[in-house]
Amino acid sequence: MYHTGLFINGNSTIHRLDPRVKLAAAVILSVMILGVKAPTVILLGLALLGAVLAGRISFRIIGQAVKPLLFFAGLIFFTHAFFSEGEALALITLPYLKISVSRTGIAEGGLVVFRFLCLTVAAVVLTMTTTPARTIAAIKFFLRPLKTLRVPVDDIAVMMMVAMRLMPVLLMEKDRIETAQKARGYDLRGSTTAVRLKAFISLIKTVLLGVFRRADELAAAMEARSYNRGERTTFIELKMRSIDYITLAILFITGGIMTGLNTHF
Amino acid sequence: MASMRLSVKGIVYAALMGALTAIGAFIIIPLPPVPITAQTFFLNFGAIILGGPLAAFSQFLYVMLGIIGLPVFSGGKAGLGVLFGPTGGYLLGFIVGAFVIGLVARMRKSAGILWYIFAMIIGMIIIYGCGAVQLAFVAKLSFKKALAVGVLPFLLGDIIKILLAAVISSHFKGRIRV
Repeated sequence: MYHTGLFINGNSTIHRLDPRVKLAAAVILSVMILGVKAPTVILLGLALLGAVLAGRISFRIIGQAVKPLLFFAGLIFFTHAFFSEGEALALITLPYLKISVSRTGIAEGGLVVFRFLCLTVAAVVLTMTTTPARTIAAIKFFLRPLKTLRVPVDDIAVMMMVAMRLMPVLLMEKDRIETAQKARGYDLRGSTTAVRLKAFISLIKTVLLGVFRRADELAAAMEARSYNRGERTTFIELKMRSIDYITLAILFITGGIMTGLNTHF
Repeated sequence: MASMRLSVKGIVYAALMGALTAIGAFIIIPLPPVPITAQTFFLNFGAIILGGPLAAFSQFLYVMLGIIGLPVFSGGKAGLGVLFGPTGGYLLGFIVGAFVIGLVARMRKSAGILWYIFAMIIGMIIIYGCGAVQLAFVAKLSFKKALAVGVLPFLLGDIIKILLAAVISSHFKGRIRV
């Protein structure tokens, strides 16, 4: 029912890269995947395949990550295929429904879906090779300029850690209360929607009261330990090594080349 | 802008609502014909309880939880790709929408259920607006088609979630202070 993310331990070059470099690469790649024309997207897809192989990520796991996307991708593909405006090359026409499948629609839909696939894989490479804690450190690094706008960046990093830690606790709380209600003979099988909704309200209210109590306890504990706002030291020290600079250089050079190529197509 | 100094309680509550929105993907509201997840329910509830700025923080945290790889986006999705992908607009809308709901809800001192519902409807319009714009842009659909694919199927469920959230947050009114 619940698993804590996609990270898979490993020791490849991509695993050891600085999380900031990986995050920047994922963002730049995502923007390019959406922005460039068709031939360049295929080149980007090949580059991503290279990254997957370098990170020694199994295709089965990527398949699992792509799976939840399939329904929506299919929906968009068929919207393009059936309702595309460029009706010039109609392959099949269903006369009674005024729906026709056009070749341009299929090509367009296919390209859009391919872009989504690339986007997902780019993100999967990042999350599968970086622990959540290191990604948080990288996000904190990139948010740092916001400090001039008085955004509490250090607090945000703490909040992310707290939220991550709270998730399993909250699910357990919900299960506990559900079990307690069932143990007292609360049986909703075969009851009407109104009864079920009422039961849901009473369940969620109890859960919410419970979790707010826990949050109060946590806040009191933090205050008792003199939680201080402002600059915080961290367990994870990010340090750029030569391989990181090389990766960044490669990223910018290939990115530049691809943008250049894109204008020629 | 001294208000950006968050209290410890504010920090913990925002983290809590972010985490609740995240696990909302696993909590099912029993409705025929299709049971729906409780995510926007927690968004609405959190916005009322926390007020504008903290609510925006809590939704930002939720989006970040997804980006670092926890499967908290609808349908068990995760990762940066979702944010840039066709449904990413909803996530940005969550942050803006939560801010506006919190702000509108606090505009009136003696706000009741009806005022909450009004605030949440404005928030939902913002969320769906952001969602449909990005869907239209990324999936290269016309805005009308984007509305048909990305808004209509979820409308009924969201109306019910708004009602539930308004009822429950009015129960909690005054009992939980940040």
